[in-house]
Amino acid sequence: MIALAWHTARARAGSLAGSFVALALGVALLSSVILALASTVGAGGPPRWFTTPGVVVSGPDSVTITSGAGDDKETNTVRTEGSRAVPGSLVPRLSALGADVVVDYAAPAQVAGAGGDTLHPWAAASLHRYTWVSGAPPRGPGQLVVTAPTSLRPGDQVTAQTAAGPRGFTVSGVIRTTAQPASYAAGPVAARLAGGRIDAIALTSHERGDHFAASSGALLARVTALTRGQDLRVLTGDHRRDAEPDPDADLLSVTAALLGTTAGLAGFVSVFVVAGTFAYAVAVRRREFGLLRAAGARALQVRRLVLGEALAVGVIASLAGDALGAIIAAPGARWLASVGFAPPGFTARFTLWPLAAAFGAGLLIALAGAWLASRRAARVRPAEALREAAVDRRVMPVTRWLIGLAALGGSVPLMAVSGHSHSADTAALFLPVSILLTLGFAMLTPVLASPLIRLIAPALSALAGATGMLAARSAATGVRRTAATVAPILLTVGIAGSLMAGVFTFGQTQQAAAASRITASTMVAPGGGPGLADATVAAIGKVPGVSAAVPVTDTTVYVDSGGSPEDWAGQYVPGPALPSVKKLPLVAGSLAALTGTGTVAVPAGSWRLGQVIPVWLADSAPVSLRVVAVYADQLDLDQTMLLPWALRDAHSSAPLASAVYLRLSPGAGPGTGQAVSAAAAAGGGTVIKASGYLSATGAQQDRLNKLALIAILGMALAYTGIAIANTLVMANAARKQEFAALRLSGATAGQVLRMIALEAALISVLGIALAAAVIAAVTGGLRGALASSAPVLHIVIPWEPVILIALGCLLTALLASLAPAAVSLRLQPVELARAPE
Amino acid sequence: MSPQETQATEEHAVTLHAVSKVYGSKRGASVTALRDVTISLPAGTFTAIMGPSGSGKSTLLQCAAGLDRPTSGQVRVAGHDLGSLSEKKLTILRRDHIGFVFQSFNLLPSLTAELNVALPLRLAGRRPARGEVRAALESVGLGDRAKHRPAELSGGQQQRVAIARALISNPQVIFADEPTGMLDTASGRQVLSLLRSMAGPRRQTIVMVTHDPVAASYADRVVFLTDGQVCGELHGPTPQSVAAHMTGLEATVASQP
Ligand SMILES: Nc1ncnc2c1ncn2[C@@H]1O[C@H](COP(=O)(O)OP(=O)(O)OP(=O)(O)O)[C@@H](O)[C@H]1O
Ligand SMILES: [Mg+2]
Repeated sequence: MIALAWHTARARAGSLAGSFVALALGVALLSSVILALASTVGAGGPPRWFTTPGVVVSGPDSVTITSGAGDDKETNTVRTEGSRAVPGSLVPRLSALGADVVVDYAAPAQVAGAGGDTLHPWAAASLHRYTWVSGAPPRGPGQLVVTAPTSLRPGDQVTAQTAAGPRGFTVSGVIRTTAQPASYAAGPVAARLAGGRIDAIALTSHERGDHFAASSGALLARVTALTRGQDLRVLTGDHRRDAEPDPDADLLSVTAALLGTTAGLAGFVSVFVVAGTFAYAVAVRRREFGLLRAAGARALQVRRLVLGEALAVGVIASLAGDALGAIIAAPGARWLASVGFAPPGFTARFTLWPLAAAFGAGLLIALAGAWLASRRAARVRPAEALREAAVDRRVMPVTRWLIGLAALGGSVPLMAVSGHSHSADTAALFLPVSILLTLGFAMLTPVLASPLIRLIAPALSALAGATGMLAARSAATGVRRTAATVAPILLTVGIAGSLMAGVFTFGQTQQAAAASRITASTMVAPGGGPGLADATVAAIGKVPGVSAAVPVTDTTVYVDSGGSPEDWAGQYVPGPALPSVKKLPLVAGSLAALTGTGTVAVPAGSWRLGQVIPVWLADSAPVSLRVVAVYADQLDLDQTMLLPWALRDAHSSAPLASAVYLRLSPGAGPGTGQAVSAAAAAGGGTVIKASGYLSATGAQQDRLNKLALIAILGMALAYTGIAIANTLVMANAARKQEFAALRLSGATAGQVLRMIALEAALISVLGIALAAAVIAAVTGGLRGALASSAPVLHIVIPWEPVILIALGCLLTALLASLAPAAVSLRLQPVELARAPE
Repeated sequence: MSPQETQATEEHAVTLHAVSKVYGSKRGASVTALRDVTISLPAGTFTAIMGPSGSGKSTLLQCAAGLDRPTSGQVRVAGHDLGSLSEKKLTILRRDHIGFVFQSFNLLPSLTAELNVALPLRLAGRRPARGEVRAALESVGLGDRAKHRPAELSGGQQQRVAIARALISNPQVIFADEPTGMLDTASGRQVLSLLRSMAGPRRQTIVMVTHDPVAASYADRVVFLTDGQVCGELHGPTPQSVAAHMTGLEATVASQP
């Protein structure tokens, strides 16, 4: 049977091309995304900052929660945003070990014209290799070394925005290094600006040359012994990088999340398209299998033939897909870096396992699709298969009903959840809903198509006469073909439209909710730097006419969510002052009590007023906080916690305000505005209207959402677009007999083409109509889900892109149907009738 | 072309002049299906074409009906030189003046019998009159099968739908390739009588390929074909005379080296 399969495969090279294209491109899509995803793991590599010291000691940077007991014991750990400080008491004890010890401070500092946002002691420059561009080390507290590339020269006067407010320095030198860009000042200055917070302690063995490795090992043993029992990390080798300021780490997790979502969609569309195409390729050939059965083949033999063919095509196509995937992965990854969704320099590294995984998955899906269809093909009695010709019967098997209804039903609870979720990954949130709805409608296409066509048919006949009637008839009777060609159109428009509608509706509703909380008219935002210093906030607050200047600092906190740490948004706020600039939907307690270092305000649902809850802060420090206020669990406040201002400084490496909200007294004149502007500018901030700030962050959020959608949808849509062309070419290639019969009934070539065009248009309209149903279901579901958790609802239907994508599908369908038909219609009618399908 | 010749062809519904058809095959060996065939069919006559399998009967019919273009030679139908017509003009000529019944029926699987029959008219932009399609189906004995699709009809029934389709536009010339090949004696006779009646009173020209001497006896004239060449004809045939001629033919073919 395998030999026969090989022969039929070779004889049918033309019609198998469709299956080949679908699988090869599906595997290419999968393998490229998985390659990129794999590249986000362990992308760290060797250290950049701590390259010379053998051992680095730094504070802990993770939260671990252990739940259950005995066999059910479960431990979950997450990496926190920052790390805890190293206790100063450790310095003299480590110094006694007989190694070079460098105490590294990383004070937040923004120097205009120089790279980096931290200031370190000059001694830390020895932790990595550097060369002098010009100048000399800092001599005295007023001098500063900056890293190239910079336009600054020794002797230049610069202002550094620090946690202690603006500080003037004179540039003493410029160095070039492969370490992260930073500024270096005299040791005591750096220590003071860091608030005495030790970032890391680096130890370098005195020994050089051959003894170095041995003595490093000995040093590690001694340091480990010394720090035993303390909550500290002792790092060597590539792990030293874990102690470094790593601006890429956050971004890399964004990259991984985005690629994870992309991979999810890629997986779904490839399974859908590949299985569908392989199944359809078998369905198209039922007559041939009927003949085989009539010639004496057993059902099992037919099945083996189908599987053998699928195996032959599957192996070759998956290999080709892997090759293509390996080629397109790197440019795709670089595109992510270029739009800011991945660290600069991010690329897809070549690794074998993603290719192997995509190969295996592709082959498996192809075989599964072919197997399911072959069972149906083999079950047909020979005579029946011969008769059934091109009129499809029993196109809705029970499995189709089951999958379709289960998918539609499953989307309902998912949608309800979407009213309560994190803002960061809306695309990931809506993808499952979009997928389920699209899958459901695609499965039910055979039942939905007939009434829809019957609805359109009279209009089509009236408008286009005989050709219109023919198009409607053949779409209605060739239900299997219609369903197979409608599916990729529905997939393309449905996924894109529903995902965009979901993401933008959610995003804009959330933005509107956040905007509705703010009662301040004016605010100060950091102008490019990480934040505003307390001194600056105080200076603004002292301006006559300002009745309140309320700073907030954004942070991340971690809570115990059913045994594993979950990251929530946190905000340090001066509780008693907050109500003067922000109106929160309080349901219990009072913000006036949000003071000291042991209180917290939380959204309703998880905790009660007065309850003491364990929380881990951004530096991984565990704290116990008493709930003093509870607010409604609205969209913009969901998984968001308010922390007392006094808790901030001890747990932040950069204790700076993310924004300052202002309330002006009634008598404030233009002078107040000018004075506020001057005070803000001195601290590196800018004054803006609250509404302007909100629309700017809203626009930025929309831009990011758009780019994320492009990243997630781009390749998948290109793939489904090709699938549209592919299935239509496949379907129409099997219709030469039908076209010949038409020509022989007196149709001109033009009339046949018109019928084909009308049928392609009809199928596109069907697909788009079903996609519209998917989009309507998503927006309708969101309307219900968000109604109770947002003050105003902004339903966004992305008309423009959806219409463009729909038109693109229509155009693709027309071209893919007409081009091959036009070629075969150049034959004489009788030649066409004789042509093999 | 001389004036007399033009004059002569006017009376003829179909004229083939020195028509040859060579099928080139990709693997080199080419088949000559028709060799230099010249034949004229007067309007209003019923002609039967006979000959052994593979002798070129279907090819002759297809070339004469403008369904395929001959390799060389000239075909005139209803006063038009088919070789000079564009593909589109040819289709329209076929649709309006020629009916064809195929050896394999070539019905559209998605259309009911009724719609298949009406198709040539609708493609010509005409809406068939109410009883027209019914009448055509009834004339082939299928009045009660109008709403059935080809897959739901027997082989002979499909063949009769194809005949009804060929008759619907009242064409000047009807070509039928073994139209009774699948029919029982009774329904075969019904179809043959129908064709016969069209030739005489209605001045339609009928050309029919058949292997059956009884069917051939319905015609005014029988043309015999062997190896792509005309090798004789009979006027006013009877089943016996046709059978005798066939036997003689087979003997000559068999005696050839
Ligand atoms: N497309 C083709 N390519 C090559 N050869 C062909 C083609 N069509 C027909 N032939 C050959 O041309 C010759 C005449 O074929 P044709 O179909 O006209 O025969 P026929 O007289 O109708 O036979 P039958 O009674 O079996 O239907 C045959 O030898 C056939 O093999
Ligand atoms: Mg024949």
